Amino acid sequence: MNIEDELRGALDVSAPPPTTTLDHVLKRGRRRVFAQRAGAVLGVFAVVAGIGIGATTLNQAAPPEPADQPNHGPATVEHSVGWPRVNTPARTPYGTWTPTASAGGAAINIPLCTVKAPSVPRERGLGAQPLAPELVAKWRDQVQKLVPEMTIGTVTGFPSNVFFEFDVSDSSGTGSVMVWAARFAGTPQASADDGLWETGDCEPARRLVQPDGSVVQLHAVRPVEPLQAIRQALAVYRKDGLLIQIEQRNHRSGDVAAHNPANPDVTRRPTLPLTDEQFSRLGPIIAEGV
Amino acid sequence: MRRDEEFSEFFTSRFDWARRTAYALCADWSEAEELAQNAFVKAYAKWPSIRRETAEGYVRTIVTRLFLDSRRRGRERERPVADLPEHGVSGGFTDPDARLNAALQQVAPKQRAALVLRFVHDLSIEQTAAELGCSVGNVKSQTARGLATLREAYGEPVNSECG
Repeated sequence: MNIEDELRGALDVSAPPPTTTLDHVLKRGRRRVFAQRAGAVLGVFAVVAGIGIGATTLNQAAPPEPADQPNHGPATVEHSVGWPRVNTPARTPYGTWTPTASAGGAAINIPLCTVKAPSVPRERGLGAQPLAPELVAKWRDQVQKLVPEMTIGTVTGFPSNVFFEFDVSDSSGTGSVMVWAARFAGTPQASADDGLWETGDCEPARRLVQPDGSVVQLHAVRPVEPLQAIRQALAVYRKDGLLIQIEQRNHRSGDVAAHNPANPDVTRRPTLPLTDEQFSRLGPIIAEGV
Repeated sequence: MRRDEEFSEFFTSRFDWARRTAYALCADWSEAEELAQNAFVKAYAKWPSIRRETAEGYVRTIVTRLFLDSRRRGRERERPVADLPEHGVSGGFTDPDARLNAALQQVAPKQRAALVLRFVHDLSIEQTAAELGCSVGNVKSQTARGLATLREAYGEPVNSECG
């Protein structure tokens, strides 16, 4: 017999009885199947999490949007107004404004562009158009209807009913609304064009033209220095030659007058009190003379 | 479940065969049992993708590779014994099977695996190469060296098919 034949009989040896049972193998096999499936599921989760973390990291590492792009307002200010922007090129910002850390407001970046005064000066201050307090009181009530969950303060007029202010408060803090009026010459459209850059916008304002020819112009959020605050203007150029401008601000009424650099009492909300959409709904109401 | 039924039938008919194959490789019944058990556990996990006609070869491949892995990692099993043996491991063989297994243990693990697959399981050189995951030439050289070592370890002049 050769060695290869010897090897061929190597399986036919006397052996002790096996100790492994079918149940034991099935149990271990099922555990292995479960572990494989759990591993596959965890692997999928790991990949998804990895993609999410990677996308977030890349998103944060990406350069910021150009400063002349929209959506630079506070996060809670929604650009949901359907009005078209005035069809004219945007302007190039000369810088970006951010509130100081001590200002307590939201961390926002606002592109800065120069303020371009209207060619025909507005009649403000001593020559401004006084408004009937009853009319302003009605607009205040309209604001209350728009934001019933907020507390609306009493209207204060100064001086001689030229400027009116009232507070708008909720759990985020107190902001305010200011209203003033002036007379303009010419058509509402021409006057609105003339005042397009008067608040320092970089992008053209959003505009709504009413059936009667009145024009409502919603400007962008702008910084208020030296208060380290923000404001937004809504200008209503009525058919009757009256410009009514309403501004919402993230500080209390009276803060402008009372402010000096050493006064720490200026308090600011992180956002403006009204969203774009809420704020814009005041325009047609005011245009209709309600 | 159909999976369990089919696997149970396969286990019942082939576990002892797998255990004896493992024993031919490692010459230790305890380790052979463990190698065979691990091979069947792996086969259970893959059972839906294993064709019934190839299941035997699948388990044999796992047993062989588990054995080679254990030797490659240097994790030779310890063999705890209650009493010292009567004689040394190199002498005193009266059982021809034990003598052949002792001689096989003198052959290097991969050469031993090649011998077991080629002659114990009567696989072709190509089949052996596929199961070991190496080339045909490698199987030929491993087999030749393994046979030479085995003849020397066996201690008696024996004929060889290879001349």
